[in-house]
Amino acid sequence: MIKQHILYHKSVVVFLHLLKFALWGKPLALDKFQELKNPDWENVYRLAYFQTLDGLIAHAAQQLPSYFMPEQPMLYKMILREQQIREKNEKMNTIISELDGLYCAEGIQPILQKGQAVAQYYPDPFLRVCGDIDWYFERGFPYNKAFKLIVDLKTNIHFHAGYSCGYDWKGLHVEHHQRLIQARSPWNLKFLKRLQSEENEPFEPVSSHGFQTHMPNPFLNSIMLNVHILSHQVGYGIGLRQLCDVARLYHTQNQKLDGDRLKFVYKKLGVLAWMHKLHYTLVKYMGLKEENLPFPLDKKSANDWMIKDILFAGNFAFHDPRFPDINNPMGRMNRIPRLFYSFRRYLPIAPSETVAFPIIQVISKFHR
Amino acid sequence: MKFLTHLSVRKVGDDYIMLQPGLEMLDMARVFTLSKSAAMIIEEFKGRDFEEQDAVDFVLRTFEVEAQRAQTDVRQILTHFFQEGLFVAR
Repeated sequence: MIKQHILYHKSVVVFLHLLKFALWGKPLALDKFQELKNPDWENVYRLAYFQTLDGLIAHAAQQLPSYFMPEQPMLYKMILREQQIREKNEKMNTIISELDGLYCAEGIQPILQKGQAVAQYYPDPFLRVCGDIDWYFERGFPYNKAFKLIVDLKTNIHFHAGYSCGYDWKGLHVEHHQRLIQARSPWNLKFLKRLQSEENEPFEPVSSHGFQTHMPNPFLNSIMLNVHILSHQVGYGIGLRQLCDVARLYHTQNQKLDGDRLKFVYKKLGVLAWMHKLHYTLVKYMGLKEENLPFPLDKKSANDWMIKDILFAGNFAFHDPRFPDINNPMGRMNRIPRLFYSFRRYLPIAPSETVAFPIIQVISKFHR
Repeated sequence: MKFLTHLSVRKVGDDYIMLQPGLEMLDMARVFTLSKSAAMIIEEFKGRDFEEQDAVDFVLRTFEVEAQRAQTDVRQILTHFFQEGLFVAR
């Protein structure tokens, strides 16, 4: 019963409503908060936490008139969590600045991916829950030199699947990537590499509270974020935060995006059908204005399975209750049935990336 | 005296809430509900040295209150802040 009606759950309705307020400033309809009891608020907060959107939701809840706010201690928990997220973002910005300085001193230009770079598209970047710091370095000399720099600093660096490596720096996890756009299909990678080289100015400076560095231009960034979402969806799943990133990019950068060119790129990558379904989700359930999409919605894009998948799964699908692992009841979901589910779901709408996912995951564990 | 840096005061609904910095854990003991005058004293003096009389003068300038009452209230507020460890140790 729960599975069919997740979009009508009181907590889900309130969560999406608060999210639209946080993302777009859409006025809060107070009737949605009438008779909202503490257990409902706990569900809203839990949902926000699992989607790593608790900073946005906690802040939004505090903008309600007192009468409609959650009671203590839930309200205090939200206030504290918001402050905690703000403080972590401040720390992260300091570390980005420090690392950027270290790389630049070695003559390497690092490119900040995702995280704090896309946070700049939000009304308040400090409310976005930050994860890792992701740097892109051009393959070959820059990537290898950045790797050597970190090894020389006696940091315990380790390899990841997908031609990346990572290390911990002052309590935060940092990753180096040698691919800007993490597509899995070799044909797509070749095409994307050419696309990147054709850009006159693939990277642009980004200056924010406490750091200055470079990030991909909006065109490459939108492809990077979308392909990143797909790369997780064809695997174990992804959370709503990554969709918020794309929605905010479209909202703030739509004047700089060449919709026809993007559509051509997604068609070439074999993911256009998936792209339309993602765009539908951004508009229908997350409140992005349709006119801010880079190209018009396709008539066949209507679906509710994508938002349901995301709401069930949570951040990177750690918590999907549809795929419980009986050997690990409180842990991450059972991966094998989830992978089969993803494969069947995404094969018709993003075939090349869906087929390439399991193959490249295995190969990249051995080949760096 | 000087308040700890990064003390954060915000108005949530009708309440003034103050948070202590350094929130590694979600610790409810780090949340304080303040009166309006206490919140305004922190906002006015955070980041700089001040004396009790400066706070009294500020309260007299800001609120319609008698001098004796302002003195008593400010002392009570600052004593409470001291007990909670909100000042930089000398």
